[in-house]
Amino acid sequence: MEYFIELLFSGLTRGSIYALIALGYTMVYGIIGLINFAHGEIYMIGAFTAYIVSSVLAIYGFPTLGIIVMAGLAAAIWSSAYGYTIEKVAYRPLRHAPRLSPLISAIGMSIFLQNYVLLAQTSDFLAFPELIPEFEFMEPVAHIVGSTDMVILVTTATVMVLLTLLIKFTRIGKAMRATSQDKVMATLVGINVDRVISTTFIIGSSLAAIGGVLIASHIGQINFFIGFLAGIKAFTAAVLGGIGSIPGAVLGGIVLGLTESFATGYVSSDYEDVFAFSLLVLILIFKPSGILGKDEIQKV
Amino acid sequence: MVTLNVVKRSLKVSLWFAFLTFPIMVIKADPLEGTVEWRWENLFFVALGCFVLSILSRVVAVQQEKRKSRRLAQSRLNEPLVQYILHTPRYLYPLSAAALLFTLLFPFLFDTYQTNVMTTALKSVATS
Repeated sequence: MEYFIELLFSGLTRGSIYALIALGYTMVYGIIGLINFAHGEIYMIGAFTAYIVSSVLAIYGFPTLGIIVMAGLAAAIWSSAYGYTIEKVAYRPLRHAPRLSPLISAIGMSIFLQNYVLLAQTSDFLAFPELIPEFEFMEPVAHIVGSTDMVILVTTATVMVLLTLLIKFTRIGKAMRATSQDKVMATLVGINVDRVISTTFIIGSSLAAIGGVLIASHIGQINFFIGFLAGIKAFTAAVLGGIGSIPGAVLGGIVLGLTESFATGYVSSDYEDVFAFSLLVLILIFKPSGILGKDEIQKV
Repeated sequence: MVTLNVVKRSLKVSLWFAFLTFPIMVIKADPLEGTVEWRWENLFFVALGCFVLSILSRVVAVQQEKRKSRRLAQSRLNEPLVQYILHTPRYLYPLSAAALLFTLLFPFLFDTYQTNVMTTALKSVATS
């Protein structure tokens, strides 16, 4: 039973991170109908920014709490800036182009960002500093759930609640929902659609950055390629939950994380990805729109 | 033509990209060795490159716009005369007024038979 609970928490931790990244995919898809393949790289840039800032501050002797706050803040700020710039440079000029063009642009941007970090930093794995300390009150249950897992779960839950409040009750959230329903109508009622799309990219990117910092701190190492697999997994989570649906992305992430964790624990860690992607195939066969996605009739 | 406005906007772009690439392009830290390498020359090259590219892209955009409008004017000259007149108010309005005047004066200038032929022709044009 103890082993089961351990796997459950591990799956929830993993799933929370997938959910954080998947939210970016699903929000962007919901607004402009684009799969932003560069989103995984935004997550990687968030992790790298946090690594650089935390390393510099640690070398100059800053206190741990200050390092955590500054690294997280810097990661969110720079990732948002990258998200905003990518939207403006690579996607906005192609907004009225055929759907394949922005998709190709996204893949190109993903490869560009990977190589940019590879050239500017290194191709080696870098040891990410342990930003999250071990809490004393967690010691009795440390063999089941670690402090890092708990911080990841709490942070993710808080972020999800804040995002839900933002989408449901704020002016920008309403504008985002209106834009995702009908862009032309949203423009007619006075919504600045360009600004809404930029804001969506900024929010999605900062969520990915938070995910990047948390997972890098959890795993303990980063390199320029970490965004690729995380991006694919988060995309899987978004599709699993129903792409375009925010609760779907969260649910998809959790389901994917739990599947991977239990498959690793009870079968073999070699089959971790096999189980994750088999689950995706099954869901797509029996419910192509995803768990919480709505079936839509498309006009030919 | 490089205007002051173009230079200002390009400066803003170069500043933005300098900020954007600052942590990854400039700082290289090694926490194990405890060393920080500040590569300020990268920031200079990024800013300079973005500034030049921004100016170039704006100049090319202006040139393209000019070429487009020139081509449009050229295509206007090459189109059939009737189309050209219909698209040019300078000729369309006086010609329309003359045609209207001619139509009104027609019964007074020609006999009833020819007026009937013209009325039938106008009717068939109007109903087609």
